[in-house]
Amino acid sequence: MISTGTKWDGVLRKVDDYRYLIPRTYKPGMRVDALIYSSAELIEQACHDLSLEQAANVAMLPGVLDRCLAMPDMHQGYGFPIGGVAAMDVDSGVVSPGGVGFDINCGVRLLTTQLPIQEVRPRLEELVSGLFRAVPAGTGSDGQIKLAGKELDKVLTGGSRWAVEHGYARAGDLDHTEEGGCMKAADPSAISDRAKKRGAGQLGTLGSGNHFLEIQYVEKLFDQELARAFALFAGQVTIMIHCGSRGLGHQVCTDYVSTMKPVMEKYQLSVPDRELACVPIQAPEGQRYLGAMAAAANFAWANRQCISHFAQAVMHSILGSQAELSLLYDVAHNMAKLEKHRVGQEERLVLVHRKGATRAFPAGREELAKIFMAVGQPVIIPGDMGRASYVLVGTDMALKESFGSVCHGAGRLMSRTQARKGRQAKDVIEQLASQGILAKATSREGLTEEVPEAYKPIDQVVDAVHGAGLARPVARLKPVGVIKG
Amino acid sequence: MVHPRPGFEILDHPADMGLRAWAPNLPDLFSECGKALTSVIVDLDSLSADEIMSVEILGDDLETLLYNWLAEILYLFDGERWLFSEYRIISHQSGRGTEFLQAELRGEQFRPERHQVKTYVKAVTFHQLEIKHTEKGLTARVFLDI
Repeated sequence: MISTGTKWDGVLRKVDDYRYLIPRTYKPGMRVDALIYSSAELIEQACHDLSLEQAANVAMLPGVLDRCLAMPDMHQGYGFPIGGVAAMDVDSGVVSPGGVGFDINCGVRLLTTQLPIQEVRPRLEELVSGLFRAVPAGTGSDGQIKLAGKELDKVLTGGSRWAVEHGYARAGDLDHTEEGGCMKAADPSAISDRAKKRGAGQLGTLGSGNHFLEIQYVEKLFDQELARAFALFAGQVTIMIHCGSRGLGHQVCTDYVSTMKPVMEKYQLSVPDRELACVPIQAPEGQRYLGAMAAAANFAWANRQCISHFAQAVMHSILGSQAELSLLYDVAHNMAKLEKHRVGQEERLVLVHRKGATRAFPAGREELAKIFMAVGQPVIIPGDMGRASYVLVGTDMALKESFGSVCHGAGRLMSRTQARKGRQAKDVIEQLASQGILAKATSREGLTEEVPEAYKPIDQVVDAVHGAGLARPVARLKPVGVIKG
Repeated sequence: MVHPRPGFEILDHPADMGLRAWAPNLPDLFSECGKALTSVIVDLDSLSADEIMSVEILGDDLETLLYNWLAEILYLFDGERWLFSEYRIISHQSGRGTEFLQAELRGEQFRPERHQVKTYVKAVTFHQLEIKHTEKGLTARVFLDI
């Protein structure tokens, strides 16, 4: 278990089996309570790092509304805990680049096929090798797409729409992407030349760390009606892609956090942790960050769309034309977004920070495309590379309680150093192979750090959001092929 | 007694990594932090010191200067494909709420066929970032987003 050496000894009240509360009286400066969605097992783990203290710190941000939240996959982050959600009043509240994270619009998408796993398994080795060659991963791997001159600005403005215009996506994909794959507030001029330089060669690349491309299949369906609505069937082969805005997004966050100190002094803001650096949403500096963030988010959507395009080409070349990939949904899990939510008795426009949390809008939300309006948006939750991932759907309870948010993954349980200790990459590959999972990675260390045991069990995390009533499981997906950076 | 020799170590973090460096003075401390960051990305021994680059860094305070210094090294790797094994601080000046650093970096261009990347560092963070004066000199702690 991750440990800071001491167990967190703050005030934590159990509300029910899946809810814990840090009351605003826990420490001076907290403006609201912090509500933690968890379970007996998971909350015990959370007490061994700084994540609960970080959730209490988020409750100190100016303009934070109602209560700040943390999801069951929470673990220690920088400023915000990973798994943190905070909604801010648009007039008096702040935006915190750290509440979005360095990997702006890190997110995940699920592509479905019409192929059953038994047809694909005999060709798995070819597929994994083909995908590994076609999708640049790891450090220093330039993408196949060269963005000349002002073309990068068009990506930053258009997001997935740019991908459609340039043949990397189908027009229909936009309805299957959060925000239609394009944040209209994007302002490429708010992004430094350095960020653009880092991003210019990285479109269509996976990156490293916990980012991956997986071949999976639908192992279990929990809700036949929703599965039909999402066109999912038992044994169906799927492809999941997890990555973000690459060096471009990292540099945007770096640039803005670096210059926040005088800005905070100007607006007389103070925070308990410099990574919580923030600026009033309505201030020119706040609007500028939001414009840069939106542009980086668009880069991330175009990135995942281009990777899907490369994956499609590999599927076609190895399995033939029947191996058609359809986008089920693409969700962001590092983002700040303006949304309407009910706060107290009134509906208000608020800025929702989701740092390692996923938007999970149920049926009826105006942001959803027509095809999801009656059922709700698919929520894609990646697990570790050995166990499982999930498709969920959000509930009215999520809308009422968590600003329409749920968890974003399994959440780390071990540090990277702990994960590497006593393990070799080849042992990890053999261990996965013994479970029928083929894995390829550009970095031996990277693969070892991502060993399945380094993560909380995804079943426990999903059980907690389900138990709390925030989401319902639709399908459990089992990995069979893994590409890591 | 001062630190007999500057040095660094890599720190554990629940999801990421950190570095701690120590030195008798500030220039050596910044130099060690630079080496520590590079050692997270690649083996320092795999790098030559054949080429020289000069950089100038500004910061509103010492902590921001360190953050910007390491962010510069990271940018030079991810944006310009340079890796450095030696960091020499030529001058450090403070005054009127501004910190200024001039440094000379020695290293080479990143070549994937020659340099095995161990860990891709996304960013430097302010999380628990500190520069402390101790009886032995100075120590610094920085956490990195992986």
